[in-house]
Amino acid sequence: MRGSGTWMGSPASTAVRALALAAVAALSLTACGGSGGGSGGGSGSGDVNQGQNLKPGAIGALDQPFTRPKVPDIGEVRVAMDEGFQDYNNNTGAANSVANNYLLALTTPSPYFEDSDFSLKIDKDYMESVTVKSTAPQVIEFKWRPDAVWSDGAPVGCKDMWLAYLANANAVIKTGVNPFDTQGSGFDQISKLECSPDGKTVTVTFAAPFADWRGMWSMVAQGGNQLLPAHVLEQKAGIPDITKVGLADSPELRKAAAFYTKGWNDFSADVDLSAGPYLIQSSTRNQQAVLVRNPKWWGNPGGPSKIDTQAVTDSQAAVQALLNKETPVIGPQADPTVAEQVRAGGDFEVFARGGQTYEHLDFNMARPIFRDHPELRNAVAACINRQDIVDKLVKGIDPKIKPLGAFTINPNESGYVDHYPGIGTGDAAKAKKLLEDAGWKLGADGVYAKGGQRASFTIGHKLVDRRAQTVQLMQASCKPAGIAIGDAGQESFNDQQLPASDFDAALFAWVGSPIKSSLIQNYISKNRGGVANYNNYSNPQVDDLLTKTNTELDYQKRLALFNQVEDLMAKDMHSIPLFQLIDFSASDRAYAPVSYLLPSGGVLWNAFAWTKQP
Amino acid sequence: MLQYVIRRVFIAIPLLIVASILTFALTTAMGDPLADWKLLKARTPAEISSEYHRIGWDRSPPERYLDWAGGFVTGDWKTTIIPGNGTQDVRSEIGRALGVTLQLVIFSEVIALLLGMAVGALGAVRQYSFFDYAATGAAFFMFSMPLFCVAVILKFAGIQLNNWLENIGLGRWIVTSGPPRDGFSGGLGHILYTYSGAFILPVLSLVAIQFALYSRFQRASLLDTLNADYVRTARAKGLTPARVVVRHALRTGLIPVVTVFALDLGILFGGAIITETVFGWRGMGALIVDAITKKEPWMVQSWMMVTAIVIVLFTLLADIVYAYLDPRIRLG
Repeated sequence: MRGSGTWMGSPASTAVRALALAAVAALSLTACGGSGGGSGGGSGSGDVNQGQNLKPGAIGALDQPFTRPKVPDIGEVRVAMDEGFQDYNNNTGAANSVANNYLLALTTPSPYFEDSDFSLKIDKDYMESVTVKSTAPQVIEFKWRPDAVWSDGAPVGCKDMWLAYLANANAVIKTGVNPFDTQGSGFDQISKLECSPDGKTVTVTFAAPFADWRGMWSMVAQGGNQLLPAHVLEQKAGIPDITKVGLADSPELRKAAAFYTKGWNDFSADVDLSAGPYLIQSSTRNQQAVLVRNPKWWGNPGGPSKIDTQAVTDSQAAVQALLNKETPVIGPQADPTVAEQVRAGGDFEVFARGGQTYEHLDFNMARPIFRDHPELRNAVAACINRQDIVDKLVKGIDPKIKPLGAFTINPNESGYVDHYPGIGTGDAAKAKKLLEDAGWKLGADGVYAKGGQRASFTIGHKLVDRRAQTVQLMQASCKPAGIAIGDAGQESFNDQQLPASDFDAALFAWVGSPIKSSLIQNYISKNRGGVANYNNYSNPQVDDLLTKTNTELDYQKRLALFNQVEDLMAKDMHSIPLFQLIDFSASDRAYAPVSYLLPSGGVLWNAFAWTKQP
Repeated sequence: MLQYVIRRVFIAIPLLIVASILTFALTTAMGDPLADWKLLKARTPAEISSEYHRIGWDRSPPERYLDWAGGFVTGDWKTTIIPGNGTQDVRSEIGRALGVTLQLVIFSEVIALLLGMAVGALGAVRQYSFFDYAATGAAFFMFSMPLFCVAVILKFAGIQLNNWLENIGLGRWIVTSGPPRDGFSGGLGHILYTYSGAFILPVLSLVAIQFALYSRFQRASLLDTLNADYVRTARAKGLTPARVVVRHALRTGLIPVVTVFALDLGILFGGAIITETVFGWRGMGALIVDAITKKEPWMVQSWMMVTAIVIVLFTLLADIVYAYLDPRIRLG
């Protein structure tokens, strides 16, 4: 399930579950079995390669705009995706899935748009402007276009934003469980949300600065931020005006929550409205969903007149459907075999590019072997061969991929700096020197030791072929350096050993995001909120800087702070970045620009801009 | 006969209860259904306990079992409960998936059975002939081929055929992924074209394997019967060879084939998992793989019970057909 969890690879599998699968004979299907894109495929914005406005914090400054391009009608397009559409309201914890976002990105109003370079741009099809009116206190003014309407003609604006505010910041959350079952970030820091009489201008005042405000009410951030047609909720729940429902617990709030959590489940055309270039015409849960042009859409109409999406969970099946020309666009799980098949197929285009999810090796800083021996951490960082790992395991999908040089900023994002040059080059001599300089002695068994501590540890990981191969490559390249690495791969690793910090070193992946605050909990000290800091890393300087990034409204300064954090973390060498997992799509060469972007729509993220060569 | 059926149904009830307890134990052993959800982000204890309450996991396993079993009998099969999977009605989803699988399985099994019977019978009647050797060779070849390889080979053959058809202006007929999308729209010719194009590959892949099985059983069984005393007597009475085989031997020789057919059909209703996966049909097979992967307890539990019921029913059906085929078998 691509990107639907915190880390990649299907989560939580037990031996029993595996047995149960075996019991129903779910046999492995893998035994029988144009050049890469990388430009992002373009979006029609005309400024795809420009970075984000680096001074949006300045009063009155605007981020870069995005407008959907004018393209010819290319008729119906069939698309195979790795998972199918399920629920219209993707905000609730019960429903939240990246597969819903594939379609919702084309139907949901959003102040910001994530472009192919992962930059956040003001969506000018929806917004007249988004303006930072003040930084102390932080005040943001959202001006919706007058012609922005839902597919039943009701205006998009204040009510919809208020509903999201209510769902994410109601007072019940403080005393119990959120009746809206949603957890968007930043809403609890809002001190005031004011609407103009026409509901098209919304002014938001924050009690404390919130650097990731662009993700709020936008499809660029998952979970809790999707705007829903509040007027539908008013009608169905019998609430005259949602903006009059306060944050305090009340019968009205509960009524709103009841519809919010139940009324927008699955798909129902009468309540699941669109305010995007497409609307969902029909959906067979998790199998097939059909998008057609939204007749009420005010912007440039999308290229495809109809998008027929089908869930094809087997990547091979998706490729064969492409080769058979029955599905001209596919967004399967990235796999070297699949990539090779498509590239060999002739008339097909492959998009493969490092995405937001990154693989890394973490040292457990609570265990003496790594806590007390920074030289061992650096020696491991020297002896593993990151380029070799990338060449053997990832290049088959994306020939341009390189070893990763940072955790918090993606190589495709502006502000990225490689903080690990010369690290992980398979340099056994350097590793040995680091150990010997620190007093380690090579033992008769060919493994260094110091004060009773052998340079021997295990790497825990979930049982995924790629990870097992990564460990094998590390074992092979570190053995000549007198470092013994054991493989402690387990099916339950991500569910049990990892969160319990029960490992020497851990190999897994984090899902990154343009909404940077989501990464902080991975690296900040546990006592300062690092709930996902599984390797027990702690550096007060890093903690302070990360905390500062959360409140720094100037994007350029924020990037600089992240790079300072990266510098410190590289010096501490508590974790070694390995590579990005690949975003992948393939298409009939006649269709362009087809690419892949998460969390905003997957292969459909720019479907409105697709054209077709005759 | 009616008494027999009633007795068998009553025997099946405790069998199904035991099956339900075993499957419940297996489903429970899949682990904490909220394990992944709890790790996605920091949760307060109140949130966690509320979520356990919502999905009913704050009760003991026996309570959960009784609740589920009561619901299953009265038609309330519950919904999906894992955060991120939405709230999907289990009964309607299994019904839908069963419908998809039925389409595939019925076509395939009927064709495979008829073909297997014909080839097996002919092989037995003309034992050690060229046809018999060829049929035996083909059957063993198909036996030795893993289904996913047959399916993949068929797919690539289908793609090549489509390329050829397109080159001669006939369009692309064969579909490699999923059932027909547009339902029964268009004229009869269009419907036939669409449905045959979508069905041919998955049906062929199932037929290839099942036909091999049935033909071998049919051949072996008919050979036994042809050497039986009553068949020799029939021949001695001067009946024509065709009448001896069709009227007397084949009927008895069908019994093992019917047993295998009934059991196979029951199992296949539980999903032709590989065929469905390779060809993108989201039937019972795809459903159970999905449900186990997502750790949906009620979906897994109800799926297993439906499969168990279908297998019990088909076994019963096989017993009844025995009596029809061979009056010597007493159902009392």
